[in-house]
Order: sequence, then structure tokens, then C-alpha cells
Amino acid sequence: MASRRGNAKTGEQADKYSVLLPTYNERENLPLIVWLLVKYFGESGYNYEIIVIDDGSPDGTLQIAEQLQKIYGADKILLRPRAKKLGLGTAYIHGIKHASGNFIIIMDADLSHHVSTLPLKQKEGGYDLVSGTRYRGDGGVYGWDLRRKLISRGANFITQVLLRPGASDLTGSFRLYKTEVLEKLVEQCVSKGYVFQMEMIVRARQLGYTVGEVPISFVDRVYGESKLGGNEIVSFLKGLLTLFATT
Amino acid sequence: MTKLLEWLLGVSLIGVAWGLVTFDLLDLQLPPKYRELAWPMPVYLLVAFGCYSLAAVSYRVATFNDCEDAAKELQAQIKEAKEDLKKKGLKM
Repeated sequence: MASRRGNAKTGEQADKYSVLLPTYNERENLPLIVWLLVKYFGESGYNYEIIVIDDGSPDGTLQIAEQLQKIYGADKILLRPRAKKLGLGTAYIHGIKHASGNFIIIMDADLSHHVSTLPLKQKEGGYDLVSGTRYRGDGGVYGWDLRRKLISRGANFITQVLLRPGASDLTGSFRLYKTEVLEKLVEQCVSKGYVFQMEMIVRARQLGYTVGEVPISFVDRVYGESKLGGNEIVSFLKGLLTLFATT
Repeated sequence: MTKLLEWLLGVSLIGVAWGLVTFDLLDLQLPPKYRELAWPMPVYLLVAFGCYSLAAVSYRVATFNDCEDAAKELQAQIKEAKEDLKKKGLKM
């Protein structure tokens, strides 16, 4: 008899979370990310799949992904590679086509996030979009010097003043979207790189979607330093002004 | 309306209001005190905003959380992951 049991997991099995992992030269990081995802999703009981979208990495990322698929099963690890580096927006479109979940989780190849906080928050408020933030709650960073913190907070301040986006952290890429919401947004957004991530949230708010936030601890990539030099700053400002003028 | 247009609109409205009061464009014969107060207002507002910005960013930098625990936890998990994956047959 299909009665409603008191077990919360019954309802959760109806929800499925597709994690999109666009990769380029992530041979070292990918196994660790997958292991963490499997661990946290396993513990939480949520239904999930991981879609690895490798853009022809020369370092053998795809081969590692194939090994992971053998270990964890082709129902949990899906490989949908592409021939060459084609950019984030198209990676998402490509990923969505192959995703069977009603929720899509996007994450950077930074090994820093407890993935189950996203579905939890989404259920709390029925949000269309949940975004990880380093700037609120007990979110934060690790190993950042004063200069980097200053630039980050300064850039975020300017962003808040100019765009009033209704979200505290726009350049993060640890997010959960309802699948149909992500589809709609990717259609509309035209920027590249992390400005694309910013545009997604700005447009989401414009289209009336609800945005929830969870604090995240941003620990720098273990196998490589994130750069924040003059070039990055200039291109950030360019992207910001473009969004300012077009959204 | 884009944010840029919103800003231009807002600045124009404030500018018109300021101009009306400072230069008495509608010939309202406002008391000179009002005009004296209005005249430097744009500069005052800019300075006030500048001070607020400095204060806000300084405060936020000072209270930017450092996630020591998260980093430690991550390091431990990376170790665990590597061992577990090796056991499961992953060749790095």
C-alpha cells in the first residue's frame, strides 16, 4: 500500500539533483570533487547524478572521469564531453540537455563546498535559485591576504551599488537552480565567464525568480592559485559596466 | 529600464530639484537660507557617500570570515578521498 510514511526521504526521492561539472584540465581535482559529492549526497539521501562536461582537456581529465564512472556507476556519473573549450553558457545548455534532474547544481572546481546545503535551503523556501555566498552568515574564505579581501569586498560594494542585485555574492558559482529556471536564464544571458554568473542572478531577479542564499566557505583551489591581478580587475569592471548598461 | 537609465533618471530628478531651489528657477522666492543650504548639497552628498563607502568596505574587510575549520576539514577529506579512491582502483 503506497501510504504516506512519516519518513521524510519518501518525498525527497521525487526530487533529483543533476550536478553539472564543466571541466578543463581538472585531472587532479575531479576525483576529489566527485568523491565529496558522492559522500555528501550519499549521507543526505537525495537522488543525484553528476554530469562531467569536459572540453577536450589535454591533461587526461576525461580518462580520469571514465575511471570514476566505472567506480561509481554510469547512472551516477555521466560523461558528456565536448571537442574543445566552448565556454560556460554552452556547457550549461549542453548539460541541461542530458540532465534528468528537476534541479541543477552548478559548482566551480573548487573543493570547498558542502553540497547538501543547497537542496536544504531550497526546500526551506521553495526558491527558484539558491546561491552560495562568502559574504553573509558564517560564509567566508581561507588563506586570503588583506589585498585580496579588500579587492573582493570593494568590487562587491561597487556591484551592490550599481546593480542592486538582491544577492550578496554575485561572482560565486556554487548554485542550485530549478531546471526550467536555468534553461530560461541561459537563454537570456549573453556575457562570458564569471560575468555570465553575475548576469544570471541579475536577470533572475528581473524575471521575478526567488533567490535564496547559503553561506559557503571558499577554500582556494588546492592545486593551483586563483589569480587576482590587474587584468582580472579591469575585465571585472568592464563586465560590471556592461551589465549596468544592459540590464 | 536598465540600471543605467534608472541612475540617469534619478540623478536628473535630483539635479532638477537642486537647480530649482538653488537658482530659484520657478521664481518661488524661497528664503535665502534654503538656497544657501541647497547650493553645496551635491558636494555634501558625494562626500557623505564617499565616507559611507570607505566605512562600509573597511567594516566588511575587517569582518570577512576566515574559515580555518573548513580548510582543515577539507585537507582531511582530501586525504580520505585519495585513500578511498586508490582502494577503489583509481589510478591518478
